[in-house]
Amino acid sequence: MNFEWSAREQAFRDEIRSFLARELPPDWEKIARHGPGSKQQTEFSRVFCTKLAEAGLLVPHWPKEHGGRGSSVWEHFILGEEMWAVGEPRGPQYMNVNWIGPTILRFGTAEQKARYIPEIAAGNAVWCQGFSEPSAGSDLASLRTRADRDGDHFVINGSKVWTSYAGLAQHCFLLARTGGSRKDGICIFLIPMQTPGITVRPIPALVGNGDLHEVFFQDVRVPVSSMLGEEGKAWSLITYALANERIGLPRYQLSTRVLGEMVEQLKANGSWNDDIVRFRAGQALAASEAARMLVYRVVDQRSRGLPPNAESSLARVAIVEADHAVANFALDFLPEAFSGDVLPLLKPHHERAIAAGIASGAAEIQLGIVASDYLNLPRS
Amino acid sequence: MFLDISDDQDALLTTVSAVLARAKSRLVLGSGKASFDLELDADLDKNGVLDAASYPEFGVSTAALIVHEVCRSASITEVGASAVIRPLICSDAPRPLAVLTGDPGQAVRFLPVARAVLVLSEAGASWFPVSPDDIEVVDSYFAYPMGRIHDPERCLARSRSVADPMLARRLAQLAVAAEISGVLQGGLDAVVEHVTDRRQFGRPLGTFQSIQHRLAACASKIAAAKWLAFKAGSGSATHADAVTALAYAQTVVDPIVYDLHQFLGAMGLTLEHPLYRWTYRAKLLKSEFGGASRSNRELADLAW
Ligand SMILES: Cc1cc2nc3c(=O)[nH]c(=O)nc-3n(C[C@H](O)[C@H](O)[C@H](O)COP(=O)(O)OP(=O)(O)OC[C@H]3O[C@@H](n4cnc5c(N)ncnc54)[C@H](O)[C@@H]3O)c2cc1C
Repeated sequence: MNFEWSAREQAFRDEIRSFLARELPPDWEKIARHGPGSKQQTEFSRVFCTKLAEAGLLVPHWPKEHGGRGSSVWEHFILGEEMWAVGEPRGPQYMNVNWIGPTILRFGTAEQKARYIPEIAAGNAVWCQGFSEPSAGSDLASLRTRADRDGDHFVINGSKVWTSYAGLAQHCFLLARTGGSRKDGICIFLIPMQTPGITVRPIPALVGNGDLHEVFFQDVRVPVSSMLGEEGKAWSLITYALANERIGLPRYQLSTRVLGEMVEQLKANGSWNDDIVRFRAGQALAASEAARMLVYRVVDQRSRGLPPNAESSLARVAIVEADHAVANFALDFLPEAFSGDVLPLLKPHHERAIAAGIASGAAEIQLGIVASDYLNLPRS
Repeated sequence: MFLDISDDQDALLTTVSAVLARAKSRLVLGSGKASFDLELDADLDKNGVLDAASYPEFGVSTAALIVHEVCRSASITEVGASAVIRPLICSDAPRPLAVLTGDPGQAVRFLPVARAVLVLSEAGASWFPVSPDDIEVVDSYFAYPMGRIHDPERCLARSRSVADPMLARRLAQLAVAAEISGVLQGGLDAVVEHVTDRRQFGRPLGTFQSIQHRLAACASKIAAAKWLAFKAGSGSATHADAVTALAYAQTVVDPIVYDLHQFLGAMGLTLEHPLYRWTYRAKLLKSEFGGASRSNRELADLAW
């Protein structure tokens, strides 16, 4: 056991902090208040991520030939922690960095890499993730969107739902089926959102503007070359992509940041002397630190090249609890701070917290994985 | 960072496992709730595992790991104070140790078997030796032998102060956190085994999703409690780390103990099944240092 950061890791963290101190504009938190999918934040992320890229801090964990600097798994994770600690100014681009880019790098053709990777590494690409469908949520393998071969094209028909960032995205990482059933027969397509036949409809939601959309595909023709990986064999790629997606969320950093800001307010208004307020603040902090430890376990295993396992679900469960502990603390003791600009990160934190147990695989799905693969309980 | 058991720790755990296996073979269930395995105590001492905290290659995290593993066993012995506090704070004190944190006249676990008492108070920290004459055994509601000091003033008069009372308090808090994670893990292990074997409605209980999810939620909390305790023993750990581990562990006791008893049904209410040996340790540990409420407030005061 060793819980210490290496000098190199600490230096990397310091480098990111100085970058943020230099480059995050004073009105950043007000921009963040609009939510991660908002027009304001998406536009901000294009400028901010370009600067991150120029500083070598957008995709440091990628190979050097693709704009990275060969940073370690832990350094990649430290980058995520520091971004979350200030409210995730990368906006939708965290997906490109954490899993869309790495999946294309790992499984893409030379042509696909040449087309998409430089743009992601430069910090001005916005992607959306076309997985969930009206009848395929937790049960993703039941997805129905079709891709039928027509010469050197596929014709895509179907619909996606809850697609974050779809209104402003240039590209979609889309799942569709060429045949088969369940996990068999699913394909990934990398497609421009401007392709004729794609319609995007925003869904008004509690999680901020621009986050949730429906996306309809009507006779959308895409070249065969837009398929990522082998036809019908996308499930293992999806597993790879999701494993990357799921560790990329050091959300407890935002939780502890917001909690600290709330404490300052409570001290100022005199409520901090109340034992119950301090009790609940301590409880929320401890829950956040608990989530941190379980996430660190997962990152450590990953850094040692061990395959993903049920411990990431164990961590996800703790993350959801921590997010809610902090969000509920705010509602109990500082409801007035949800309006106005005193604590601008409170609202985006709350919006993320209410989605934490649903997006990227519901908490109950994670509990099921823990039951079967960690506790080895009998399967029904 | 390396968040796993090292080879050296693994070797130590092999020794601990062998000691615990011997204890298991002696375990007799069905009598009173309070229990203490003196042979296990001597066996751990003889095998040197209680001194790990003072060895540079191991340190306090390893001591917390040993405490967690020993408390996971149904056999009950004094390990928290002896493995985590004693090597660094009062290595000359005889053991087993009892730790007194509140009113000197209160009932304290392990006092009937203790040979020394560590006193932690606002004023500082000290320890004094005790003999059975100093102790009144009290009827224990918990799975620990409990006792009270007859004449606290006389005992305190012969106490010797320790060099670093803040460190003593921090280690004592960490020790309780590791004990809680261990006893909850032991209870969870037993319940998982039970719901895997026990069939109702034609299928193992463990196939019911309501049971699966609640046990999975317990598993997440216990794993977090354990790693927080280990982290609180690391070289750069602060007092806030120990209090985080303690506050979190004490907070999760109630919902977990409820679920553990729930899924064992009536069997869990008997003394024939060892479940009480874990849950009736947890029920006392959650009140140490003033309980979850005090610990969470202490964390808030340290953090902000
Ligand atoms: C903010 C947000 C952003 C999102 N962004 C995207 C995106 O960009 N792209 C995308 O493809 N998807 C996205 N999603 C969709 C997300 O992946 C799904 O919401 C998620 O997989 C759950 O699917 P569902 O909402 O259809 O719920 P359902 O599958 O209908 O489940 C509803 C609830 O039932 C319970 N449940 C389901 N199955 C089980 C089971 N087997 N056992 C026990 N309980 C169960 C869970 O509590 C679950 O929350 C987003 C969702 C949110 C909230």
